[in-house]
Amino acid sequence: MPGVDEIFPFFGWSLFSKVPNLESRYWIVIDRHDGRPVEPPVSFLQAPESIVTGNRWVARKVIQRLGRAVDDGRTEDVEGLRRLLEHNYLKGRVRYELLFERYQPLDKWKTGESRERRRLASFDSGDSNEDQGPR
Amino acid sequence: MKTKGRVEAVAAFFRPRPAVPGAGRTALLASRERFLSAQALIVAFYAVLLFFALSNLFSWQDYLNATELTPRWPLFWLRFVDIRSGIAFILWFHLLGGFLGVTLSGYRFARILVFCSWLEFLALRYSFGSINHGDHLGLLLTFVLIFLPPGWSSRPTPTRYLRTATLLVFSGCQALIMLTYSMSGMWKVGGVVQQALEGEVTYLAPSALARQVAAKLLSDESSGILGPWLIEHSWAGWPLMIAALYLEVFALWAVSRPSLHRGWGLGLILLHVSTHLTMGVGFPQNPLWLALFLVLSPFRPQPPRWRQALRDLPLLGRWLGPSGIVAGAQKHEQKEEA
Repeated sequence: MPGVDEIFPFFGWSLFSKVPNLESRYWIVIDRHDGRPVEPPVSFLQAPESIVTGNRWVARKVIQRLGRAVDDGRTEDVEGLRRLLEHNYLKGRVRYELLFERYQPLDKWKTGESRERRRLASFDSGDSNEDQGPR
Repeated sequence: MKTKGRVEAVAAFFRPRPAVPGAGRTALLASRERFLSAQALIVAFYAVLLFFALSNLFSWQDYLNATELTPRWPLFWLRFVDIRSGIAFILWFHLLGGFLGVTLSGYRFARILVFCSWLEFLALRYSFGSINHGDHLGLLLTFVLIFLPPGWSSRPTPTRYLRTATLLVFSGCQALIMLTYSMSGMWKVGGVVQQALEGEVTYLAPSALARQVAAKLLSDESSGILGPWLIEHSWAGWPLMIAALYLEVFALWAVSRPSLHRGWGLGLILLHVSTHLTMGVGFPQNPLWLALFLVLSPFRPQPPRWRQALRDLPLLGRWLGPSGIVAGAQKHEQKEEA
């Protein structure tokens, strides 16, 4: 809901307030861990515990914020969110791609098709130099 | 004049009908038996908080190893101290809060410390990039319970004032729990209006729940337990969705109608069970608070009066009442009582 945010512990309790007619999400795919390629590349939520640590569902929300920050070009926020993600939810040196997709939930569930899909960036948790991919 | 009439009509809609007469309501709040029941439930609440504090010991090492966090406002002081020492203080304070709740909850200062310990601990938990809302109710309840009257837990012969004040605070806890559900329901009603105006599918459509479930499972990359079946049989979700909306929107209404406490509490617990089985959304603490404060409510009639409960149902009760179905049964109940 626009205009609704929260200041812990105050919250508007707007949960699943609208039917998702068109949904969008950011997610990351890990393709390299501690110098070795991850074959096939694995999504953050499906990654083994040797790569991902902590609460994945909390981390998923950090990934959404990171994706929005990259999309909006907020460099400082991107750096902060990367540190938060990489220090608390990734183990060792990890290279990952940040992706975006938009889809109609029922269509995607039945056919696997998305309306839009793009790669936003590739990051390496070992350093903060990102290779900005095609937008 | 017309506006005044409308306001009165709205107020009358939300006001409990005099099924429980004024004198009866006062007796409800001054009842010794209900006071003892509320007392036991509040003690149980603090015991559960100790259990949670002890369960959180398993996460201490993770918190102590944390180096990167974005502290929430209750942790503003962390910037002035060594971060590891600050986190250690929060964890010990949290554990102390658990013990204070079960040993000294008769004292207001201890209840304030319990609230502060939970506020600090949850602020720490939510300083890693995201806030979950499953713990909020417990924290808010510790706040309301600060206002319990002195002597609520120890006085061997509770005065009428003590009984009434304790039961009023208990009732405040019930209202707070139900308020959060009603707020959630009102947002959904707002969403229905907005999406209807925009020509989109709304929660009143048979496929609404299937869409919500599919969206959640896809974003979580999860398959769920009953989710895939519900998506394939979207018609089955329609009555569930309408029932969920009804339970949420009118949750606050149920607080002033003791006959609905048990049913509403159970209904909302089932709502959590179904959202977990279909979407994987877990609010494990909420069913516990619903069980303690609503299902086991000290105000609920014993034995249960299902006819009264039917008559008290929002919208439907008004419709059922004059039809004679429940009114007749009500007369029968009153006769029995006489």
